[in-house]
Amino acid sequence: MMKHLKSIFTLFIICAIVSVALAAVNGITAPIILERQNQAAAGALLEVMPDGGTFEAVDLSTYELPASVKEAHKASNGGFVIQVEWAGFNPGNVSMIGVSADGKITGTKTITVKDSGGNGKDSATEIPNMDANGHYVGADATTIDGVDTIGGVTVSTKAYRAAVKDALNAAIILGGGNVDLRDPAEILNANLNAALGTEGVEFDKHFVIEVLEGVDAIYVAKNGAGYVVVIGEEFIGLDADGNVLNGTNEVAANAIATIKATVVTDIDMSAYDFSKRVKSVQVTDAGVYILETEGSGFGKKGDTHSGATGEYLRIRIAIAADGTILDCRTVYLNESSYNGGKYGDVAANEEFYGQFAGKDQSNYENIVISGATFTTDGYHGAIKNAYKAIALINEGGAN
Amino acid sequence: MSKNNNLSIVTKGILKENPVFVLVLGTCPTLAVTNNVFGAFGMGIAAMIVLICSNMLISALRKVIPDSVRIPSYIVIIAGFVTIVQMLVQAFLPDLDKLLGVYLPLIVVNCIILGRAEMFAGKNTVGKSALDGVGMGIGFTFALVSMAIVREVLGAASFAGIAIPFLEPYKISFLVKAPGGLLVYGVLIALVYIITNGKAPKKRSFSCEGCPSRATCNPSACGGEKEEA
Repeated sequence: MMKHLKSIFTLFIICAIVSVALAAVNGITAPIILERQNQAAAGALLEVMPDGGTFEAVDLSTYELPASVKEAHKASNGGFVIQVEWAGFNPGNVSMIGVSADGKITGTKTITVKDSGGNGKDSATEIPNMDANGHYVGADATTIDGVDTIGGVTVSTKAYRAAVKDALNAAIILGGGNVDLRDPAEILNANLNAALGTEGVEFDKHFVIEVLEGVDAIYVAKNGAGYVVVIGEEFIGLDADGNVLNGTNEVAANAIATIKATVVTDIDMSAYDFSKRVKSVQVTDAGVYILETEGSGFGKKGDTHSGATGEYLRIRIAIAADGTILDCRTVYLNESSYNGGKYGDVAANEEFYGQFAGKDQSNYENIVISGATFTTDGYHGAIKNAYKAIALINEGGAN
Repeated sequence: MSKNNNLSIVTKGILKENPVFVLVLGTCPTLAVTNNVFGAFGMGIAAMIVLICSNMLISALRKVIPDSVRIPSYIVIIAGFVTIVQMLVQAFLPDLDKLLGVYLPLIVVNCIILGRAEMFAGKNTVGKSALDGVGMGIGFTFALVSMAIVREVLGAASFAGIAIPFLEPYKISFLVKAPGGLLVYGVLIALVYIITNGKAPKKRSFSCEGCPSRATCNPSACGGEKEEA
């Protein structure tokens, strides 16, 4: 028994002495190590905000911030360095964004890039290059959406731009400002309902087949309650008869009156030697052609690419008498298998096809989706088929 | 303690009983940190400091520590010194800390330290144990640095991080990788064997005494005798 007690006691004493020695050394080295770590961390923060001075970590738990914001440090000059984690093709990309006190980007640094190859370009190279070249420096919440993405790595750089925007918004919130963090579609719906004095009503964006001056967009309430005309940042509600609900607005009233008055006539397809890719043609009393045409993307019949569906992509397009595209929508697109489904999804997005409005035969091909060449070619082919059909009608190419 | 005796305690660790090339101990850090001379030297010195300090303390306490808690006591003492060295390196030599990484705290389980505690410090005076620590430490450092010189100079065309441009076209990158480390290790072991010309201790020269596994292992494998249960 004594032997065991002696062993226990000896081991205890040795542990106690070692612990005291460790505590003593730790007392000397811990402040030095901590200072060194702070210097290293501050060095990284200073890279994105050279005038930051000293930095202090911000407790984010009391703020409602974009989900991508993981850490924030407040600089002694009033700015913030925000760490964001974002997903491009892959999740887990981490960047540090410096935002000055007046809400401008002072620098960006991507610590981790999980995204890799694009269409001939590599995100792991392009994104650090963007940081090094100060791609976002000087941008603020009002200009960030206009900062270019990099062709060939569009998905990654677009996701990165969204993350930078999140950081800008976070800096505004942390600085005491207000930012509406709702989804843009949710904000739009709220604005449309507010203009119409309704709640929870869903809207369709009007397919423009009329030449409407001074109008940015028109939305139609799905329940028939009325219309909302968007002019700049103003949302003007009109009832089902086209009467402006609050006050007067001649432009909005005229726009709805034009829509209501427009007469659409079907063109006899058999009367013309249209391409097989022209599916329907209509014309309005104002001479605007409305066509449904097809193009060959990944879905081209017989195409051996991964993701080929054996179907053509189909669009609906409105072209004014002067050849200007008034509107363009995707009717059918099933090209989502390639590269994680991103390209097909992006191509189907209004953000892409909406860009064709305002273009004409000379410049519609300038609208491309980087990294989705085949799909873009499909859109261009469908638009080309539409112009060919109109040319055939105008030339009187009846059978 | 005669001067000759003391000197031989120190010198035997350098070549004749070199812990790495002859006793084949501490192979893990040897292979891990020898692709850079600076890192190898730092590891050698750190291990030597731990070796000297732990040898001295264990020797001083050899009559106090009961046999039944001998190994746990040694581990606590060694771990204490390793942690102290690690904290000092982190505070004052951050570049070395970054270079050695996890292998610095892993000195705790370096066979050389525990092996010398068991085989020497537990049976000899504080002075002799300190000299043994110095000898083995120098031997360990010598082994790491010599391996690192071969691997870094021939494998990376640099010395302690300083580039040697004229070697750049001839560098054998394979040598800085793990298989290259094993190859250099084997070649140097053979070289030491040739240099010592049979003076290095052979298998049978090692005693089972002090070995934690002596009661259970096959004694004929190392030339020892099985302990009576």
